[in-house]
Amino acid sequence: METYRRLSDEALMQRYVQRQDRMALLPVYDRYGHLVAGICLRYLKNKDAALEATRQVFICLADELFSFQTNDLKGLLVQLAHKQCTTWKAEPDATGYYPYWQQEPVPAAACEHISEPVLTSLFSQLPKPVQQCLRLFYEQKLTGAEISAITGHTPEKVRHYLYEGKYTLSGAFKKEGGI
Amino acid sequence: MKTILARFFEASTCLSKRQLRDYVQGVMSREEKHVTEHHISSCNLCAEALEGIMASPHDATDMLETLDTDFLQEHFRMTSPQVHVNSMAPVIPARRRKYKTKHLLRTSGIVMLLAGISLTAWYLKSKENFLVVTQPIITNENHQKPASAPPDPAPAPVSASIVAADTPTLSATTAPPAAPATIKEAGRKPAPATVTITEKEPDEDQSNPGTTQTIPTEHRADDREIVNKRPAAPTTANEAILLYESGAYAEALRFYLLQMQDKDRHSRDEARLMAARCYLGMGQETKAISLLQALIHESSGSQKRQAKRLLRSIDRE
Repeated sequence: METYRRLSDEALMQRYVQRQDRMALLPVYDRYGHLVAGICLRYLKNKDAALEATRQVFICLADELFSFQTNDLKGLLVQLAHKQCTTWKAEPDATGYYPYWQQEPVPAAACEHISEPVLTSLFSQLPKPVQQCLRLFYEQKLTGAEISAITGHTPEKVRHYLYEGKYTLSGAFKKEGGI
Repeated sequence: MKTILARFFEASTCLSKRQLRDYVQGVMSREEKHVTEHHISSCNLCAEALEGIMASPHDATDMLETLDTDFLQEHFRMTSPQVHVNSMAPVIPARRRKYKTKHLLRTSGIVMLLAGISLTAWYLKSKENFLVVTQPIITNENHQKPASAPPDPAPAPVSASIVAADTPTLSATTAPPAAPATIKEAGRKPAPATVTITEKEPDEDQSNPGTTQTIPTEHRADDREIVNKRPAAPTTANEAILLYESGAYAEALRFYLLQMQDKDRHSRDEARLMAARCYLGMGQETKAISLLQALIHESSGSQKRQAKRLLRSIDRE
């Protein structure tokens, strides 16, 4: 089992699909089971229901992973959790703090090709609260609670601003960097 | 700005149960909290999970404790009775399997070919050895007259391996049996002799009184003696030896001249050595010397040593 833990998500999925190695799915549950349970708890607001929904998510994953055409395991788990919660007659919060969760992550080297003036210009196009939160978080390395205390925003709002700023910039970097 | 923005996209792993619990309970260190918040700002799964756990922290704590994989293993057992347990072993690609088989076949073919060649060579060799005359090995130590030894008028005693004791000593008048001893001798055509038996060459050493005469004079052949007292040609090495020892060098020489055409190298060298001795017995030193020199040049082992010794004895090395 220790050997499986060292494998990446893609390797585990490949092993499960191509070699029909069912043991490869157990480390996936160890890595993300508690996170899926948290998502289910967020929507179902009941721990037993959330637990059952979590189990169903992974059973569905085990049965249908062969048919999914994706390498993004985490994104797939989020979608399955939302679908399961919908099945349990709980509507996911479509107006939550994370409207950009469908975007693909930006590689770290995205801004290397972009000049300093362009980066400054892109950053300045963000809303002021977002700029403020980003500067406090990345320049001064403060926590969300500390930023909340300084700016007066709620911790959830601070998290939202950080999230929004990051993904707005990532879209701009992709455009400028030709990614 | 570039350095700060580059940190936006630094990769980080998802939150563990402990990190979720510590974050919700507020017992996380400041640095770890910063790292956790940095991760959740880019990970949908962790961000939504944290939201749900922070909304119901008490339920979340209980729930996190009861998570296990039993249901998954039970599900696998129900859907399929046989579970692939040990799949960490690398799957051997078909190409390598094919390569291994091909390699094995090639190696086997080569081994079989070599075995066949060896068997064929062994068979041919054994066949050749079967046809060769099984003559006793004539060791020169038994028959060679030492170069400096005084002439021995009586013929040397024959060794038991050569001839039976009751065989009469061959003389010039006795006719040895004419039947061929081996198929080889019967089929052998008389080889063109390099020298003729009746030819007599002057003994070069006779003009030089200072040269040591090592060949007994009574054994030196005379042409007339060869012509008048000519027995039948010996057909076996035993007979030839007896003739040589009895002083019938010319008759013995006939055998050895034929024997010099033999396929077996050892027999040829032996015959040359004996022919040289016969020439010496007949007083034809030049021919003997040329034979001995050729023998020294071409042969190896005991024949070469004996030829050198013989040549030294006639002071012509």
